[in-house]
Amino acid sequence: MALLEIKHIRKEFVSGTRTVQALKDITLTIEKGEMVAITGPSGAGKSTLLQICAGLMRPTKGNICLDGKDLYALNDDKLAEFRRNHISYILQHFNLLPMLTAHENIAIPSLLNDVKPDETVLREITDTLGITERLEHFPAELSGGEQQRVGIARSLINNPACIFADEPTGNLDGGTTKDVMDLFCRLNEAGKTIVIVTHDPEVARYCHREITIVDGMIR
Amino acid sequence: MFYKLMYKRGMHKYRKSYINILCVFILTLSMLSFTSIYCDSHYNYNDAVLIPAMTADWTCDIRVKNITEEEAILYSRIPNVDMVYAAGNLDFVLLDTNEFETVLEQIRTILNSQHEHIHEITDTTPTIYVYYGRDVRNNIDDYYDNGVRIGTAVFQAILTAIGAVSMVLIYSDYIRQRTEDIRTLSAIGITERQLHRLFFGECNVLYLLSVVIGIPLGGGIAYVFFKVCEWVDMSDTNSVYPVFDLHITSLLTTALIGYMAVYITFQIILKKILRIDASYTCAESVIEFDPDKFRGFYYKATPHFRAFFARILRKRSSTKSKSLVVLIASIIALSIVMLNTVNYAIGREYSHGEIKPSELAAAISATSLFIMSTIYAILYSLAIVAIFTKRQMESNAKSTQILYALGADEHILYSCFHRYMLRQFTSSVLSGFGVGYAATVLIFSSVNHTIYINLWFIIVHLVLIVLYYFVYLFSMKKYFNENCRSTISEEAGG
Ligand SMILES: Nc1ncnc2c1ncn2[C@@H]1O[C@H](COP(=O)(O)OP(=O)(O)OP(=O)(O)O)[C@@H](O)[C@H]1O
Ligand SMILES: [Mg+2]
Repeated sequence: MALLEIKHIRKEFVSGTRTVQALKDITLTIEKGEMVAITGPSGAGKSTLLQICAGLMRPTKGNICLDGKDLYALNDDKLAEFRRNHISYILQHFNLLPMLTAHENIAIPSLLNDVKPDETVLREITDTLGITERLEHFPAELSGGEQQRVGIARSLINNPACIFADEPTGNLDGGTTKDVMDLFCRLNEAGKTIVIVTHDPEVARYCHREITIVDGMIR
Repeated sequence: MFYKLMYKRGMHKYRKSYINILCVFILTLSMLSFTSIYCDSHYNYNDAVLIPAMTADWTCDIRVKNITEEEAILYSRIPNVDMVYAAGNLDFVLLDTNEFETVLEQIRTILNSQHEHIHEITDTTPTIYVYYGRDVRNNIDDYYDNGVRIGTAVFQAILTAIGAVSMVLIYSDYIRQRTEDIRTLSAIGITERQLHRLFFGECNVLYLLSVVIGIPLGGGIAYVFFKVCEWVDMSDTNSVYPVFDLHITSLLTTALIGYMAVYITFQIILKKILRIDASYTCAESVIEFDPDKFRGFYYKATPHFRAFFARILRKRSSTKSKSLVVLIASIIALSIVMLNTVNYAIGREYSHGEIKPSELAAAISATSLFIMSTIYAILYSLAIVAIFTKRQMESNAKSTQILYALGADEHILYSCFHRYMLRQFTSSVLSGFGVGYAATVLIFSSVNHTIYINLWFIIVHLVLIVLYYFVYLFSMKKYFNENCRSTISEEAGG
């Protein structure tokens, strides 16, 4: 069953008089439970595609259905809510809120729903990620790998159907990269659909399918 | 839960920004409360003497107003005068000129024993005297009162406008610091409603704090002003006399006007907040020049380098021109307020040589609105100069950091900045004062007023410009050190 249907997506950036065609007519389906890598040269439009899929950026043309729901037919607030509860998006630069502790960072998506996070679920997630000891630390006191894992933990707390990650291992060394990828594999086995943008062939090898984008088109 | 957590943690991380915002809010509220209290507390006795009560045979008419009937009985001991008591007023009629001084003295004695603050009112016609008894405030002339109210409202409007501008500036500075937070939160899925609530709550708390601190502060300043004047015996002048007075309604109005300014500020800021979206585009990391291409220039302070760097600085025209307009506008407003002040405070009262303390006190009380307005306008515009400088330095930080990392000499980078900023500073001060004065001259000549310009006027301006320059220099040094040196590596870390 298709979880994510991408139909004729185009994206243009207009800056001043110049227009950049970042994505030119992309059509793509991703099945439930798949683990997909998106690769391609720099500037090909990978990040743009991922952000559009994750509901962060409206496409110029085309539509996206996630779990049968047309994302960009929703208004901004509804879209944000949908994103919070069904999609998670992990960035290369971890993007934790520096003023909150790791624990608080992980709790935010639940808090935004106005519920306290389920501590047993949270513990389970952090145990799997091996950051339970680090929960009371602030991001500045954590290493890059630990920060990335906190970011992943945060993206799992609301039990999303689909995880999008933009170069999640871009700032990590080989060993940590392997840990993070193993984790993604485990999550995938547990039923999550995962889409990873990467430059790293090693990372792509963990995935079931590799989609290559060149110059805004699927090759 | 979410909001509580964010506020609690934000208190630590952004305390400095909160304090800055609070300072500007307090400045605005204290300004509004000072001007409102000023407006409530001034009474002009001049109008009160225009009572057409002089008798046909040039004998004198004295009257004591606002006294009770029991008090009136005390005056019946005064020999040789006929008295008429009518609803709070006591008229002494048909008085002979030779009896006048004695009777006057007796009335004064009785009146002083009954009331603490008795102020004598005289007009150019020395034969008409009116004494006020119990409550002066019952009998304010509407015409004068409206004049003060309108004048105060005009000043309040000008100052609130500058205040709102500096509030917007200082607030957007804070929002710029929080851009990353907002981005992250919206990637996680915060809705616009929640963002609105998060920042609106914060804004309201800041506003409440500034009401609690600012209104008493403004009131305190007004109180000191008026009390100082009240100590001085001003009975030989016919000027406006201050009577400190608090009206709860006008304090409420103050809070309301302050809130309106804060609310409008917040709406402008909210637009900025909502414009920040979660998507990471490369637009913001685009650097406007290619470091490799110009590598040759950096090492030495060649004219090429200066020209090149000046070009980079000039390129950032969008933020520059906007903030320049703000700076110029604030100086225009300041200069209008100042020229008016000089005319009312310094020009008129000091233009005729020797000054008696009572005249000085009268001048101060009559012009305290102008003086304080000028002080507030100066504080606002100093804040604007500081924020302006900070913003310029920050928007150029990336380019400078790269140049620095490539080996450009720090002194040369700084001197380039210095020159660039100095040019903007000079042009904005000149054009601001120029336009402001031109406007004032036009207004004055259209209502046939003379403009006084004297030594004080020039001294005040020189001091002000030097003050500006120091603030600008200080903030430039500070923000250059904070932003424009080799902080690239730190930034990459997080
Ligand atoms: N805000 C923007 N304004 C203008 N052009 C943009 C903007 N964002 C992206 N682009 C352009 O769109 C194209 C695709 O960008 P994108 O970030 O998706 O590339 P990418 O494949 O992720 O590259 P990388 O591997 O380097 O991250 C690029 O040519 C880029 O210049
Ligand atoms: Mg990318």
